[in-house]
Amino acid sequence: MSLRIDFVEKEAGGTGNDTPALPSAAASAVTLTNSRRNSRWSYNAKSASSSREPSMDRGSANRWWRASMAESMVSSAYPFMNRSMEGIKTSHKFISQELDLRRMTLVLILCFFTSGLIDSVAFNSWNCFVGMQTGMVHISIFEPLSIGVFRY
Amino acid sequence: MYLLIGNTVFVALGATGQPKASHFHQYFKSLVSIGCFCLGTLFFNCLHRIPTGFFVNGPPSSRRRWILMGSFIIQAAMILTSGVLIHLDRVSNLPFVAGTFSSGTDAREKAAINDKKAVAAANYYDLTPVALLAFQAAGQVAMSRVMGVIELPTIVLSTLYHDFTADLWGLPEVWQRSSSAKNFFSEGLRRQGKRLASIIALFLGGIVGGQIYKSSLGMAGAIWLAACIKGGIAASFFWWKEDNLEESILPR
Repeated sequence: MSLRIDFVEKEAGGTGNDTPALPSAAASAVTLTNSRRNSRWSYNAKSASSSREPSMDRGSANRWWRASMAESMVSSAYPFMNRSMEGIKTSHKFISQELDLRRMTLVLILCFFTSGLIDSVAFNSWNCFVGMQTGMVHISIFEPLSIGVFRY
Repeated sequence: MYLLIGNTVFVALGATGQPKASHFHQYFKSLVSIGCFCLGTLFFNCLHRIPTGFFVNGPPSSRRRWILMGSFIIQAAMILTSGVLIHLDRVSNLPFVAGTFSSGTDAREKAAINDKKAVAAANYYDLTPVALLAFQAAGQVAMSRVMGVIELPTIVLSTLYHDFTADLWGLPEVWQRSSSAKNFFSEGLRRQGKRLASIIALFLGGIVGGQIYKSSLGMAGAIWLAACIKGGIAASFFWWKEDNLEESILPR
């Protein structure tokens, strides 16, 4: 046990001698394993993980594990989920676009047509305007037919 | 006779019982129309101001895709609802008879009215389609305001006639400024052309509505056509081009 620790320490020191910046993760792994002398497997696991992910403490490792597990579950068990999340993002972007004004006049003229359509029939049936709050044009459509020529 | 008379004047006269020939509750329709138009204005302006906030002098109101589509879907749904009411004879859908509140629906009443022997009983459900149609009419005006096309308020024609006619005085200057006759007609007269096209569109709408009313389709047919147009506009907003906000900076 102590031999192994010495070997690791020596290895870490050797790399430190070669390179000016000592990898701090290897040193922290060594101190961790020194505090736990009785567990060999934990020592091996710590050193292996520290060599792979140098700047990972326990909390971030938990988070990373959960995220990777969730990712693998999503990609394996729910193959549509990733794609649908992307779809929700893109469709949210799509429906939030500001629309071009260049052809909107056509829409407005169609609205004029629609309000003429609705108002004429509404006035014909109910004698009341529903769109035009000041009625003008429908009069010229309906009234000259009903008023006599020699009224005045 | 009704020239230049709007709903406000209908209400003002009706409150004093003035048009002696009309039903004494006839002005309720005009009152409901004005009230629901105002409510619809509140609603649709709220819809258009959700992304930018409700500031008086704040950023311009939004014309986002979901807002415009939602606005037109709501308008089409309201027209459809009143169309269903008319189609199912829940409200009166026959030509207006002077002195009555509602002109009646079914065949017996139709025959009676044609014989001029009886009049239909007052059906106060007539106020429902009036309310719905007046509410949805506010959506158009809100949209025209949001789009910054101040010269085309889709339902008020007094200002439109005024602006079109008053701008005729500006024609000589536009003629002098434009480089060619083609430029004069394509650029200088664009605003006037829009106004004229709107007036003609509304006039054509009235004529088409009147013809459909007279035909076997009846009143519901015109309402279905209007709902189809509104739904078509809502669908067309799905494929509408996105605005490049850096390029188009329009006065509001």
